[in-house]
Amino acid sequence: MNRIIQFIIGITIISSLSFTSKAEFNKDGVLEVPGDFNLFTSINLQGYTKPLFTTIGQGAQSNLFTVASYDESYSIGIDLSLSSTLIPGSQQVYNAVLPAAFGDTNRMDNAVYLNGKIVRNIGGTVEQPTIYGGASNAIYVVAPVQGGDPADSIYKTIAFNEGNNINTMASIPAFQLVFGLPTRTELRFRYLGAPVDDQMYNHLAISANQQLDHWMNIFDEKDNMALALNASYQFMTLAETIDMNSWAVGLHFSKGFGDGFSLYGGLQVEDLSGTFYMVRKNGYNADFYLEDGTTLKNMSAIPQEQQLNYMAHVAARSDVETNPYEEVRLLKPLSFDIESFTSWRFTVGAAYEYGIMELHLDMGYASQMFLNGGLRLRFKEWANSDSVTE
Amino acid sequence: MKNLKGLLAALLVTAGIFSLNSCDVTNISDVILQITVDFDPIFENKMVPDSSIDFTDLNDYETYRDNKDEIEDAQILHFNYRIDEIKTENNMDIDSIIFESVNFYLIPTTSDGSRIPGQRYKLGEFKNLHVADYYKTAKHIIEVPSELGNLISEQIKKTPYFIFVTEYSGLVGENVDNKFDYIESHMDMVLRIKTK
Repeated sequence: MNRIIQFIIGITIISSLSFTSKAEFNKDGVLEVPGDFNLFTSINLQGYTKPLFTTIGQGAQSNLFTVASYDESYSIGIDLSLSSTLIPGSQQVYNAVLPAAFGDTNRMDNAVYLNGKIVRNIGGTVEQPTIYGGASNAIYVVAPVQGGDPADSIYKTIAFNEGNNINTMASIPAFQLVFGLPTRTELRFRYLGAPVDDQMYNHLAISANQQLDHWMNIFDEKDNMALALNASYQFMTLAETIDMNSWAVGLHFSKGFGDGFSLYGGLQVEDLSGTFYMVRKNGYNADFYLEDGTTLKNMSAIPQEQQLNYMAHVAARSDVETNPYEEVRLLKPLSFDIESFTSWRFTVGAAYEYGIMELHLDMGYASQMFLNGGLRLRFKEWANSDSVTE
Repeated sequence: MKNLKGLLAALLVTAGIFSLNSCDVTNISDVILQITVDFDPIFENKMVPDSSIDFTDLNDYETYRDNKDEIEDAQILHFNYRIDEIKTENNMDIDSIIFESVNFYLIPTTSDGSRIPGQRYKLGEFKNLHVADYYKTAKHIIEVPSELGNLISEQIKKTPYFIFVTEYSGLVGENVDNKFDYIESHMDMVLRIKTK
């Protein structure tokens, strides 16, 4: 199981981040891509990957609770759950930001082939597929349109990465340790640590569920209903490249029907945030530039111990000198804030308890509709009197 | 209660089927990208009808080089054509130059440029081409039919070397200037490459 999880995480991170190039971690623990990684700027990479981070965040905040009735006893158990999401059409595209001159007809003429039609002189943004989307749309460019040789222009035809035509997506399996406390409290812990190249991917999660209704006598005991609060905090890191955290708070309710069968539901607010940082090989170094940040200093102004790096940077820049994006031409880092489309979710589900086992299945509405299912095993239970009631 | 248990069992089976049919994160190991390949054929000191050719080696494109050992599929999606400079022997007015047609072909070759026998693909054509309407503009795009794109895909997997042929017909009208000092044209072609 551990090997499978490591494999899945490794594939996710590496394939999601390396795309067309061979990415690897540098000595500072930052993912580094070759200078020819030129299909993305930071803002477009953010748009392309946001649905993926949404899936990761949603999966992390899934399977936090089932039945809202918690026993007044100590217990220990495990929970293994899977989560699958339905990717909405709106998350299969994003608005890619175009270089500044696009749309300026005094400087260039451009055209894009969209759904069998030719659309001309677009500027600002253009819809392109996210990592879950379909075909991308290259933009044909000629510039300058008056005088000058188009071969010398930085404004040339540009292409974009395509998506993977994914409509449903399974998240990373969640393996949790579950502890019950006599205060009708349940604590859940998850940890995933997996090597990615020579770095570690770490995911640590802690969540707590607290039954509330018995303090307020909301329900009659014979109705077999319960109300509880759930809260969770998680963080995920990958060396110096990914640092994200997520929290969730919600209320959940359940009603038992006897014979081990219960229905449950909940409303939860949640958030995922963090930073993504990746550099280009022989990339931008502010010390190599004048105050304007874009004009290279003369070699003589560079300290001798940095001159080799300076020369490598200048050579790498020559490979991308005709890229229309300044960020790519200057080999600046790819850096953006990690975000999720999901800020709340509504969950309904059912659970069936038989002996030490509880099967649970729920589905719900969030920015990505989801279906979760899993199995919980409660190995030991101690009543307040310390007697084992397994 | 039996009905409810049955419902739960049915939901679990549904969930299982749903999960099995779901893509998982490993599907993202398929990377689909587009690259643009450009051609700059020069038609020089020739009479029409005749052709200009430009040779390309996909190895010149770093994105192709980085991924060529892992290419599963490659397909030509579309290309555009424009004229950057043109001059007839007697300096005919650009507004008066109209070709009956301009045809475009792709021919796979070996590394030394030798054509592979029996392989010649017509990518498309423009009829009644008014040169003034093609001068430094990006708007003339030809979509390559998917059946043809798939045929060429097999060739791209075998060889990265191609000749792009632009075949110019005669000019429309009488007493026209059929000899060109030069026609400098430009094609951008978009390839979809799927790698594992």
